[in-house]
Amino acid sequence: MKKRTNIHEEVEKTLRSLDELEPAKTDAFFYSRLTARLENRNEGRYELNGKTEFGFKVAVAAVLAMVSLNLISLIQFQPVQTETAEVEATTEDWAEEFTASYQVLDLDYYENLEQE
Amino acid sequence: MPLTKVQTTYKATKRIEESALIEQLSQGSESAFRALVNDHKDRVYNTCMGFLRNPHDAEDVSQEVFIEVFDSIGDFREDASLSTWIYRIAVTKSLELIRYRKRKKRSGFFQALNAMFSEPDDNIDEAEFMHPGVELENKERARILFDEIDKLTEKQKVAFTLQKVEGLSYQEVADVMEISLPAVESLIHRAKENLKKQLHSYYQQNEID
Repeated sequence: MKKRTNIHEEVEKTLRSLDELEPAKTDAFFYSRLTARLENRNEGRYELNGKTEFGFKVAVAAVLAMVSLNLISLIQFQPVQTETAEVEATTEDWAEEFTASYQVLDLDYYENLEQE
Repeated sequence: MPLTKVQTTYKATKRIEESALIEQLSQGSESAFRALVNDHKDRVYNTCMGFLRNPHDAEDVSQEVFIEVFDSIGDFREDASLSTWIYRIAVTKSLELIRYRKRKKRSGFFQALNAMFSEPDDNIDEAEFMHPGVELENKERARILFDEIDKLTEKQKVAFTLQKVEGLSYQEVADVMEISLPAVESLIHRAKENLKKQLHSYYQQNEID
């Protein structure tokens, strides 16, 4: 019973603990800190705008460079293909000639030689 | 209760002064902004302290409140008083920070990550802090009460804090919260009843010597 009364009293005291609360106050430099933050924010904004503009320019330059590189490689790639075809053709011709020249060889040379 | 002639004249004069101040603020007058900050900084800070119970957060949010005022004074419709509007911003910003902190606490993984990379200031336990206006002899009881206030619903918490910590009248609380006077009375009544219950079970669990 005594405990119950104690709890009730304590609850009431706790509820009253904020009754004479003194308001919290800022210091004298609050305005200075606030204006500094506002100025920093504005500088940050300008910087950000500058960075965005710079970033856009870099992106455009990169895209242009990529397009140019692609064009150059396309132009370069066409003759290479032709040359390869030519080289392939030459190699085939040479192989045929080479085979033909071997066909000239008389395979019965040694047999003929023995008979002689 | 009807207003006396002096009260009516005072209110009208204040309105005119406020309109002139708003006009100057809209034009970007620095002296007007300084006057506004100096007039309201302590009340804004005290409101933020009531919700956040952390001097660093209260300072930070108070600054954000005035930055918001600076940015959106042009949008201010004079259907409420300037101080009510500023209180409203202070409450909203404080609640936003509380919600953000709660979300951060819920996500354990991100909390661990944050603890690794954040500055030590972010990790201050708000339960360790006490409102500077609390008398020394009431410090422990006030800490317990603040902890229990945190467990109330958001509306009850706002109404109770504005009335009890900031010392606003019921009508002023109604204006800030944009609800009717009976709704405020009901919210504060329910907040007190809930706090009684919560404190009762708190003291039952933590036996008193």
